[in-house]
Amino acid sequence: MSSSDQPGPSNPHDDSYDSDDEILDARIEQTLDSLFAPPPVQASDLADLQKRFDEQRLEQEGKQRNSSVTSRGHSSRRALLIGGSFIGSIRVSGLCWNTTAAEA
Amino acid sequence: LDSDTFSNLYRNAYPRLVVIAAALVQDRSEACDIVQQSAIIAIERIDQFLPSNETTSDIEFARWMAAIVRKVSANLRRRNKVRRAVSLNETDANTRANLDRATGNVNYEIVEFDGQSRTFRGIDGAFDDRLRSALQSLSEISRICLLLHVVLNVTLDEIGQILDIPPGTVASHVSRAKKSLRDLLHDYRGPAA
Repeated sequence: MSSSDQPGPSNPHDDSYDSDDEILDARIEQTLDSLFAPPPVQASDLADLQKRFDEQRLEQEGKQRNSSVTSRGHSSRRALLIGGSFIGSIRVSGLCWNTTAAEA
Repeated sequence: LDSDTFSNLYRNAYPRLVVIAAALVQDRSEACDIVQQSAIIAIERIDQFLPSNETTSDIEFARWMAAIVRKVSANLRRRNKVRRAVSLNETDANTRANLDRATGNVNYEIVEFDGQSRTFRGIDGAFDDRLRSALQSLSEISRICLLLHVVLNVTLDEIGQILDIPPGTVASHVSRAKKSLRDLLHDYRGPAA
């Protein structure tokens, strides 16, 4: 424990602190412990949280996939080149790829 | 972050989180519910948890979760306060007068309220009731520091990191909290009867 782990003058060094205070302190600490000591985490709660975590991840990944497809669909019109010659363009619309060679 | 890592981080942080919530709502089982509820919120916002590196992620996770736990606890207490205010308005003067006659004095407090009925108990109850009342007089941050240090032996440095305050401030909170409790419970000095 570092020196800062000792809470200030609490108050064994205080002149007014006597053995009765010490007993009271011990009783207070014991009672706080009995009132507020946490129970162990429930395995079933952990399992529920893990399941929820996985579901959340799947949902987020699904959203990202959809968003990626949509943005590509909205933005893409790519040139098709063969041997360096422009033969047409290709457009992404959702999951459907359309070639428009007539534009060549 | 995968679900196993989240689970480990949560398991490690759990005792500290329950104590933080218990310090705020003063009820252990309610504190457990708050922590569980906070974990669900944390999962929904998991992308906002950005640990700086693996070695500090336990503390960082506890700090991140502690902030959520404190908000959830504050919301719950606000709701309970409104509910209790409504309940006290419904407790008319006659009921209070009857209660005073029955108890022989006016020193009573509501120690339980489940939405339907209330339990009243004299102020001069058992030591743990007095201690609970005395805790109420401390600031929230003092209660959290005190309980983390006393109940879980969490070091002052670690408490400081979790609550994002200097360890010296934590030490001061713990020290003053202990003194306040001693002062408020001075009639219990000496060996227990």
